Amino acid sequence: MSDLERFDRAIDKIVEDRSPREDVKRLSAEEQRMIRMAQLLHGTQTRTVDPVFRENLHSRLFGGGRKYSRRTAFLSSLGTLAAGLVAGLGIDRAITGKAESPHASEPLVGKNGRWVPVAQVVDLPHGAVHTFTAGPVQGYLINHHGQIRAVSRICTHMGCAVNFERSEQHFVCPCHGAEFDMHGRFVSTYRGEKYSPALAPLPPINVRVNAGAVEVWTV
Amino acid sequence: MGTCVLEVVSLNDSARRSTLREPPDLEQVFARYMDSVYHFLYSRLGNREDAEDLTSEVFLKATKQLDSARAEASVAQWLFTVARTVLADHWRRYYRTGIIVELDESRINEIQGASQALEPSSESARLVTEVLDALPPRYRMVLEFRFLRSYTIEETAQAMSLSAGNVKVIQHRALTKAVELAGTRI
Repeated sequence: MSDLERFDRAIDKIVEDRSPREDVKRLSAEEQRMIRMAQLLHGTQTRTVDPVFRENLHSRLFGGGRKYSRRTAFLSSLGTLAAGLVAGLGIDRAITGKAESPHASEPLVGKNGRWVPVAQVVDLPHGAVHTFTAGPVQGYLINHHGQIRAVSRICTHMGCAVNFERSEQHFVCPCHGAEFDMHGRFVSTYRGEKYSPALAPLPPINVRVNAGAVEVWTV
Repeated sequence: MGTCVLEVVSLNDSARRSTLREPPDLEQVFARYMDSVYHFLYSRLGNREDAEDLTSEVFLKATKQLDSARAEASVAQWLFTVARTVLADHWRRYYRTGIIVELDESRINEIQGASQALEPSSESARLVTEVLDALPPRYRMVLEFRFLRSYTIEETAQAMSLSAGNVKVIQHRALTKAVELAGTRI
């Protein structure tokens, strides 16, 4: 493997939240500083502590206690991950500030909601994107790299329901062609019309996993 | 686990002899500061694997250094000192840059301040903001897509109407420039 490939691999690992340390060793000092810069940049993302890790370290330090298995914890942590993702938007915005669209992306439903089951976890494997309707809320459930999240299906331009295009991994509005990525963020390239200013993202919908069911927060 | 218990007992003995402060209850310290330590480390390391490994190391070390905690003004300060040492060891071990970074030095308030908030360390966030602001827009955008939003090269290429090869080139130049801008702070 060439140094350049090793460098690229280290960068990709950081983006995937994995350690670049084995690739870093053989790079030049200058490249290592670049890797460290990438680590600092990626380090500004807010990440919740994995509950499995917390439990296991706790029992390693203090003994006793049950050990979480990845499997059971996977189910219980999905909600946390989704919440962390929504919470993370604030930081992301604080740093990217200028480049971000001016619209806030608060969760679609406020305090006066309730949890409604819309799917089974087993029916939502990695990469799955499913529509759901829960009361007045229409949205998409997305399992993106193991993180389950939900976004509104209603285009923030004029209010048509967006479609998911699997080949592009984008949501596309049939009315004027606006495109949104897997996070619901407006994509700056589009086949449709020009939008100025940029469109607000598809609002996130709070989601959790409860006893094997995926539940969304709706009214 | 057994050795841990023994050690605590012997520390308690020495604590009885010294009339100063009691060593902190590590389980409480863990419950209270684990998140802060993790977030502090994550803000430097930028990935979960390293952040988890080093967080473990900090608390494993901490169980062995309870005694020195008594000399410190606060538990948070002591824990931060341990975290900083562990971080420095990590850089030394895997990177030839050796000791780095003013960024890791003299940030004693950080852990104390961060104990209730899930914020990334303000110091590194400030450096990142400053560097990004100083970059040409295209450089900045590529870094934002890649590292602040975890886009793949292909996703970034699509979002910016560039080829994947182009994105890689810009990413490389942007990081070079960013390192230059950060100067001695990284």
